[in-house]
Amino acid sequence: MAVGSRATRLLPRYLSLGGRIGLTVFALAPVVGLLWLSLMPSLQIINGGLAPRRLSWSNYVNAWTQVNMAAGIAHTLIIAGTGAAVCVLCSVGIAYVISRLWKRRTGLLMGGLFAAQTAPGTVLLLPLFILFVSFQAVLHITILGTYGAIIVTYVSFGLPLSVWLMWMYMESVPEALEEAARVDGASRLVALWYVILPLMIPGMIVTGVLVFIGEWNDVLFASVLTNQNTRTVAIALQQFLETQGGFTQPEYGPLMAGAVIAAVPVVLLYLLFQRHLVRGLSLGAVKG
Amino acid sequence: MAHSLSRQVDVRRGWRRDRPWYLALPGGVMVLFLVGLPLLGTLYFSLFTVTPETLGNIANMPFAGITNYSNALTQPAQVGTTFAGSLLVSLKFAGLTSLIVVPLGIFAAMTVSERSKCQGIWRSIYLIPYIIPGVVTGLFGRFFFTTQTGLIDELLKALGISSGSTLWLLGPNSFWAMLGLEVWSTWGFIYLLVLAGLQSIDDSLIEAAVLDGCGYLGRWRAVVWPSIRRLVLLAVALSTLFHFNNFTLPYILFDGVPPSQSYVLATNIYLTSFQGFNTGLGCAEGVLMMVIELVPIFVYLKMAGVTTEKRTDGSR
Repeated sequence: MAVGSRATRLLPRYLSLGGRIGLTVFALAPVVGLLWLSLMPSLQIINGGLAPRRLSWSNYVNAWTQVNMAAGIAHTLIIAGTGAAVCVLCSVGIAYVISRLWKRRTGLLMGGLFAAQTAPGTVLLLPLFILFVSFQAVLHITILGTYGAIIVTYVSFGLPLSVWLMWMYMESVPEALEEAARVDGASRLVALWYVILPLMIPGMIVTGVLVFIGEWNDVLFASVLTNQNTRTVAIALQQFLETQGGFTQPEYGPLMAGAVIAAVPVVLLYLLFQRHLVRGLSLGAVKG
Repeated sequence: MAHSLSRQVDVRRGWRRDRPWYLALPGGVMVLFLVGLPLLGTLYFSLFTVTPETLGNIANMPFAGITNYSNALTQPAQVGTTFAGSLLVSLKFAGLTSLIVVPLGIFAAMTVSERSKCQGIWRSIYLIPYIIPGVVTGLFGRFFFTTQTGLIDELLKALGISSGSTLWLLGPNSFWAMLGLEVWSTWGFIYLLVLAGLQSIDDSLIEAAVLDGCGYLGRWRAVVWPSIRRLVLLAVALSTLFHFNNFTLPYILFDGVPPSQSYVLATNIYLTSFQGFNTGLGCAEGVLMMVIELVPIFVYLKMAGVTTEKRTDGSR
């Protein structure tokens, strides 16, 4: 229920309006700056100057090939897409067990899931790396740089948040519905598939989108677990920046354009699912 | 549908025999191997001298006991700063960011909580900084803040505010540049959570407050704050820990090695392990970092009151 009319205002009008304008400027100024930079010729970015001498739309064309955005986006779509899907599916299973079969010490579990979400990646990255390296040596297979390694890693690290959200959503599905299915002779699995899951689809989409975006943005794990064949968008950008640093005439124009390209899919996704995301977060946070 | 007698008995017994625990297996196994094992691994390796040479022969790594830990706490800085130094930087960074970001997010949520014509547009705009990937933020930050040729110095020069050659990415200003970017990038999270909370406030509560003669401050104290208090607590906890752990921003903004004033703990551990090649030390610092983070986690859980969930159908 949105807080609405005259009698229920939270801020005086001038503050509300002034705030909106101020925050909009604050929010959009750097974005405008980024777009501005992306249309500047590389030379000008290096040598300075406020206004672009000419609009370099070619930056956007070059970004696809020079900065490897095409490959980067393809890889990231595969990695983040598979990762998010598998993560949501696995967490449905775990959430079902917690919600319908376990039902004990939920407080402890909530605390554990919360703490798990805050685990610093830098700390876990190293032993993970060592783990993969040793398995590679012992089993004589390649692990680092494959899709499998990074997808499985993302799934594991996405599970705390994902399970938390799926658990919340599942709790809001009344058990009476499953009872009805049971009376009709259904097994738990059948009840899960035909009764619970259809009701969970909005929640699954919200969770999937959140996990997908988190994986799209990741730099830390991708920096270690990908190579040229599986480079994500974030690493493509970072690598380009590094290599260009050694040249006398670095191509920063396409780099900025690449940054814009990298941001667009995620921004679009969020804006599309905005209403669902707010509702989803309120379900998880307000209740819990 | 005709049920046989035995079928009816089964239905009455219910699902007691039907407990598909294996549903939790795929996820559980993955977490165990890829999160649990590394966690133990960090603890394990922190007790050994782990360098590229010793890594080749894991079975015979020299045992170091608590040497790595004492080194972390006492060793003078070789690259960048000491453990204690970067811990301080991280604490300052996380603390200040949260201090600024929380009131900002609450205020932002309050500016759009009323129903207005273009509500959707404002709300979408507010989310944009939060949505933009950290890589992108770090990247444009680098080019905004470059001395003399960066957009910010150029702007300051054009406006006549400064000579246009301020050092933003080196020296003490680097901390504030990083802080500013982090604030810009993350206030949207607080805003989102608080907005969700505001939307669940019953209009009648506010109307009642207004009828009782409450001004805006009164409404805040009587209705708004009590309703969002728990959410704000959650947001502060998650947000502070996120800033503390943030690796991406310093990594991209400073192209690897930050100046000492911005050398956060996350970067320190990463560089110690992957560029300083002292993995054992890196692991020890990591363990210390996690132990330190347990403190705010426990505090939050205590304050939030971790209780048993109330089920929607009334059962426990």
